Amino acid sequence: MKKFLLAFWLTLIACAVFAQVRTITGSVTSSEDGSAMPGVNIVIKGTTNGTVTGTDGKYSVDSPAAGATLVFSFIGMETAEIQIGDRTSVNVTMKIDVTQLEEVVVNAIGETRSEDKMGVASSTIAGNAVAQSGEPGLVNGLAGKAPGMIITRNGGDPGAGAYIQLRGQSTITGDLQPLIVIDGMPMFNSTIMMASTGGTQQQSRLNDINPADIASIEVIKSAAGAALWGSRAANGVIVITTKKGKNSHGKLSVTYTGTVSFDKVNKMPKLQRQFGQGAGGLFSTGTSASYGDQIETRPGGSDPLPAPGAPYIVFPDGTIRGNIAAGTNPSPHGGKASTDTYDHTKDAFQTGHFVEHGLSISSGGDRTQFYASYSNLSQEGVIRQNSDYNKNVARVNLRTAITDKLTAGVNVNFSNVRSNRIQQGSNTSGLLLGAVRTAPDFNNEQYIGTAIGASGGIILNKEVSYRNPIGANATPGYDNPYWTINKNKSFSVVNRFLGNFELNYDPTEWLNFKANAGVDTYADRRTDFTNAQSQASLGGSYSEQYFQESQWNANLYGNAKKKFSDFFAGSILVGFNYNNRQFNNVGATVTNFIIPDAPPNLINSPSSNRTPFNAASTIRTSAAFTEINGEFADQIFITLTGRAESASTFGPLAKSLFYYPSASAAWQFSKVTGTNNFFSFGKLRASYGIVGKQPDPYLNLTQFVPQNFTDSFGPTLTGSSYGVGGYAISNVAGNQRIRPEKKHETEVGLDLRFFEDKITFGATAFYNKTTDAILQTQVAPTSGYTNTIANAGSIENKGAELSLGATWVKLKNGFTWNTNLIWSAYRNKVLDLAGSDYVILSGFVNGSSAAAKGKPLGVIYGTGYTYDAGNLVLDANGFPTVDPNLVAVGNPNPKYRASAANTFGYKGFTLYALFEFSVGGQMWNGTEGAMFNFGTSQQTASRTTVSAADAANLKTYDGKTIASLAAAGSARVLSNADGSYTFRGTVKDFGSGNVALDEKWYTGAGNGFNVVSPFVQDATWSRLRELTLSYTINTDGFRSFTKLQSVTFGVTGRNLFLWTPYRGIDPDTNLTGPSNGRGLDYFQNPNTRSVLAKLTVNF
Amino acid sequence: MKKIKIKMFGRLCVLLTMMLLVNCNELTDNLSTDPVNVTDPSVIATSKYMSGVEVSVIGSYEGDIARLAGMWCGYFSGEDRQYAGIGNYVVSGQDFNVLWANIYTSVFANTKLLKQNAKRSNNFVSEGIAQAIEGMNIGLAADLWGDVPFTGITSYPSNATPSFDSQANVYASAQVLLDSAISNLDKSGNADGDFLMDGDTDAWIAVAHTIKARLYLHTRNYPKAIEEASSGIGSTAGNMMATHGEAYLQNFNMYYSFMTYDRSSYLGANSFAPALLDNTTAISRNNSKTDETARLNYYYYPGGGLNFSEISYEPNVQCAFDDWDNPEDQDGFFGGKTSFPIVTFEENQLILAEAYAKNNDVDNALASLNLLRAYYATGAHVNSGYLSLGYNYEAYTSSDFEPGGIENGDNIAMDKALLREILEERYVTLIGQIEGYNDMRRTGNLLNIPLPAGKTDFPKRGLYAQNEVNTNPNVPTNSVGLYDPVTAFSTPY
Repeated sequence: MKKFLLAFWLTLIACAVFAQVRTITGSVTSSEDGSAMPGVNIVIKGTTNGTVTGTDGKYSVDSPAAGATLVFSFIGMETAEIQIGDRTSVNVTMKIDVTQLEEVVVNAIGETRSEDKMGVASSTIAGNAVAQSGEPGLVNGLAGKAPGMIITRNGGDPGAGAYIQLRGQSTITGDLQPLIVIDGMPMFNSTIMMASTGGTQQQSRLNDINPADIASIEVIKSAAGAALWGSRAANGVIVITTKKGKNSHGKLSVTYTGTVSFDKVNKMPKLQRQFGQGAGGLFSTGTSASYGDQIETRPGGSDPLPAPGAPYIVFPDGTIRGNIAAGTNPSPHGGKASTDTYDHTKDAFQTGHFVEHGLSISSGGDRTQFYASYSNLSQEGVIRQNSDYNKNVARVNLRTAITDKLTAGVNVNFSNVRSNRIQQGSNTSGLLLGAVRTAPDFNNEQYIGTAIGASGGIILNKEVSYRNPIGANATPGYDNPYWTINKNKSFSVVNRFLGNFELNYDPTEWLNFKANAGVDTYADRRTDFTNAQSQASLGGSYSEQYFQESQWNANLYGNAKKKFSDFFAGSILVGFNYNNRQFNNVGATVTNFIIPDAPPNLINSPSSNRTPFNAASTIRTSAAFTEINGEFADQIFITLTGRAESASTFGPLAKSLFYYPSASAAWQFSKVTGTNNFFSFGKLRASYGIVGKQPDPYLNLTQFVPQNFTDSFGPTLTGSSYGVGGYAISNVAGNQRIRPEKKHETEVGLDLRFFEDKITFGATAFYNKTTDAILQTQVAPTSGYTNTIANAGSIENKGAELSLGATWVKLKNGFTWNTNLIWSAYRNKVLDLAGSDYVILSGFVNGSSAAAKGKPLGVIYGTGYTYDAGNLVLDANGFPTVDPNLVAVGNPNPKYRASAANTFGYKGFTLYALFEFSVGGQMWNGTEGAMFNFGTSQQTASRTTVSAADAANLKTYDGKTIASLAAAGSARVLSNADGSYTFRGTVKDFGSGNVALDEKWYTGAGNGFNVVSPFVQDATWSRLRELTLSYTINTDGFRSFTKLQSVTFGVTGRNLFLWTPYRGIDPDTNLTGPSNGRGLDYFQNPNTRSVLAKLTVNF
Repeated sequence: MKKIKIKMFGRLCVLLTMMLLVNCNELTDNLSTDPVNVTDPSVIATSKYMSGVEVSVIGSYEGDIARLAGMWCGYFSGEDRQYAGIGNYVVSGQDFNVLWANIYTSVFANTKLLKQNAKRSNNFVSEGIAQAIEGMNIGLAADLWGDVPFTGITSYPSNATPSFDSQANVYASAQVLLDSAISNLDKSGNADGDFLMDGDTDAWIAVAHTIKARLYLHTRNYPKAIEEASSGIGSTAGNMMATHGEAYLQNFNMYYSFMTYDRSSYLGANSFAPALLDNTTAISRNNSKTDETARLNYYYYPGGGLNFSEISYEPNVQCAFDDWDNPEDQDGFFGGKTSFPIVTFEENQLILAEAYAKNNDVDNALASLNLLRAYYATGAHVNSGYLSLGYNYEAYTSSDFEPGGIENGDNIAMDKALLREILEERYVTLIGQIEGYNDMRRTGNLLNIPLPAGKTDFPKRGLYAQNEVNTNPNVPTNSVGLYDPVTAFSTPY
């Protein structure tokens, strides 16, 4: 401060001495938040004359002559050169210099380190890059922004969470999500209850913070970088730093941001509209499949009214529908007349939207600075009803110097998140399941009516579905999608407090102590209401439950550093970490409502139909850790870290302490080779580290549980409903020796910069191996258990990550063009599964994602066709036969991921485009597989015409020939006037000549319920992930006229274009959310694309 | 100033060091006990195991393998998705995982604990019930899979891969267990927690005899079958029935749960059994002394409309607690709270009839059959709402089975005609039960139950559970394909 003042006065004196023709005045502000920038250096180009800005950002300098150029410079900001012309007032907005900003990074516990001295790869994402992405949640805004990081959305529902993967998967069945550390404090990133194949899309708790509050995000992928977190760091660490107030000398800075977004479904499977409900080419009402008559040859007009005395249904608009006579071979249409068809991919969907308001204020003086913000996001999803997300987040970050050497800080975040969700997936009340199985000639909009029976009985408000078209059947079969969105409700409200307290004490220049203690606690109240008529829970069901997670964390550490000589400098950090996590779940489910239309109430059920439940666990971890840094000759940098850890989850017979060491080294070889205009920086780095994965709590124990029997298809008997309440030993054996998983990783890398740092290049290669992976392995059921928990698995990953940054153009007129390219690939292999062939990670018995020995994690597992020596084994009719053995039939892991970001700037305009690519990798299109069975997929709607000669030999799956079917008058085949025959389906040769793939094939061995492998499809995609055009006005005239610092208008498109050969919904989703099972598509709610408009005003 | 600093620094150093020296363990000890779940077996009473094991017994006999067996022996048809495949014999070891694990882990792992508990308190009755349940379940395993592990089971981790015993030895062991059960049931103790027979030890003894008879019938030891069945269940009051209630995922009849809640439209009954009962079909078993209309409608819903709009028959799931147009007493056999038979007087009577017939004692065979028909003639075998549709079970005479008699239109030997009728009566009596499929296999499909289109043979066994195949190298691999009969059923009936 003293130095600064001295310089200031000296400059003023200098200015006075050299006083000349005229005085230029003005002010300098930051482009980041529009705040005044004190201390900016201003020099008149070509002279030594200059000044610095004052505390209010204002300056005054005397110019020697007209036509001079002022050069404004400040650390961390891009230097600005301004021609004065004949102006006497020049105001400047300084932009952040991205290349310089990245130079300082934080390590796993949040301490700042120089990136150029680090021996591990690190990726920094600027906070505004996330906020500008237009994603309402933080986690999705990270997509495509760091090499080696894969973000996959659970789906397009409002507030849906996402899967985060850093490098390859390094555990087999354990949680794959990285540890999230915010301001030095671990925070929950839970997605509770998303691994099942039905239910609703759940949120990620990482989305509870406001992206606008984030200053930067550090993605630490390497074991060596993450090792300070020991057994919580196996999946890497993401360190989030929130915005802090700056010393603005008391000036208040206020920013308002308003965003409005419009969202649509971005991709849907293609449905056929040519063939009606029914089977065998005959129309038949109420049938589950759509292998009925040809719609276009129907007579047209309205369907017939019900005969007197026959049952019918009356819809709210007064229209009536009766039973329609089924088709017969001579008359395939039966009573059906109407040729109307409906696009069921649009059922229940709309253009969704959200509106977000954000306000932040910050200010500070010498001693105390604060940042406070509030934001409200209100979103209506792309599903028409009961799908929304409403988030309120408030944050206060306060920092104060108690004495010159003791600083205290408090960061506090409160979030309130309310959301309605819609059921999806494998669920007879799931939205898409009900929608796309519907026959194309059935109108789902009429979903409720008054059913009149043949005997005159009346049922009010009866659900109508395509399988129950006049409400005459007891059950709907599958719920009508309109019924699903209007009658079944799933609500969640989360209140979350996240905060920490920091003390920083600097007794001497070389020594520093820090204490960082905090709490993260939330309660999630969830209710799920299923109407009494809904198929998934006939009689109704209501569940209400609370999830509560709380985490206390304390880090205490001391940090000493000393420069011993020009050759050697070093630092040492020694600390202690305490962490306590508590989980509680309590709730109840009731079924079979006494009063079907009563409000949700847990006593509205027979007492035998009430199921209360609770769960609780505590995990406590304590550890000592150290980090030692050595710098040799200012070009070789070595970091050693170590952590000794004990946790309550380790088995009592396992060791009580586990050690997690790491070593990394960096060599700035450019210090030896020297630098020039072309080559400006070069660094080699290498690291090795061990991180771990804690066992889940209580794996050491064998439980005794209420004895339930559940068969393969759902029917369940509960011990508590029988006798005196049946109890039994669990069929999973506990393990007293359970210990953490261990991941060993070696990483090497190279960082280069060229053309005065205009081009930056980074390359990293890694190999890691996880041993002692905790598995619930199968044991022979005859031995008394079906599974045991053991440190039995092992898995390896190798991969490479590349990044290239370039400032291609930086013209005098202000035009700039920057590019960032990132590319990453990994190869993952399950090495050992303790004798098991495979372990299902998620999905269905036939159609799952599994861990299989020798295969990448998550391989798609299911049935395929029988092969013998590479040839299909065919049945007597020439069709493949289903091999009942489950085998790996696909790999969901991409060959590589890449993204390309280009930024163009010109004066106030900025254009940003982010393309993202996922190449290779497959997805199980279970949705299409099921739609084959139901005949609604467009793939089943081709028609083929064959000659009479061909028809005589062309066999169908049921052993008939096309000619014999025609001869028997079957409506499956149409006889043409020219003697040829037309049938619905295609012709294919599986090896013994052509056969006809028609309805019988699509519902037989070609049906997705019987066979998985034909529905494993290439999930490669390319997308325009983000496109943003923004314009900032901060000219002098504007500022003096409006008294505002700046205004920015922006338009952003998310997912505007998607190119993929995949035939289902956007493949960048997963049925089972962030579970270890990947690449599953089975009627989950689709993804979205969005257009947003954003206004930012700096006051 | 400097002194103060050094002092403060010193204090901080001491504090920090102390924290580091705190044994990490002390902070993390005593947190490894589950706060919610039972992990200490000593708190579980024998009666709780008893109720739990009996839930598993229901699972064994009423769970998914009963439906699978029913599709394979003409009780049901697989109409949709996986069931379309299973109905056409498209199965893998996966499909047998649940029953296999249920028998070995849910039943045997717990009867082991139950017996240990019971022994400690001289509770012979509970031990006896546990042994009877073991005998039933290991017998069922031998029926379905042939050679299965018995000696050395439930001993993880000391024996993680039990060896397989021959089917004959397993059947013999089951008889020993049942003998021991009968003996223990006569001793001291209590049957607390038993809900299958409400703690009635005499009823349990009768059940054990009937199970013994069932297994002797399977091993074709007809004299022993007659001997045991003669001490078996003497009236329907002694039937072992799985009781059900009105709560989904708790106590629903499992067929009902499957067909109405879990997988509607998977299971139809375009199959042999209803057509046999239906007096409008060509293959109807109705005759001048027999009217099966009430029974047909109790078991099956002709014409569809419950789950299917167009189908000949559906398993009858109508259930009085649905408020869908369903009067009282119209609960079908597969209704939500309809009790499901595990072992019954009806079966015992037909074991007697069949064993006498196979033992060439035609008179006793006919008398045993007529005793059952006399019971059916009371109308007690269906819910009373169905009786008005018509039922008649007049006693047969031997002339009915003579060539040209009402039960011998094809003029075969009288004793063969009687045996055929006994087996046919067993077939319709055992609708929905695994035992119907056992009959089909052990008699070489004597009733000529039709097979699915294009099939020339029917499955002769269960496949070994995939979980066992994956983990136990002792699983036999020779002659264990779907069409390889188990040893006891491999010779002509």
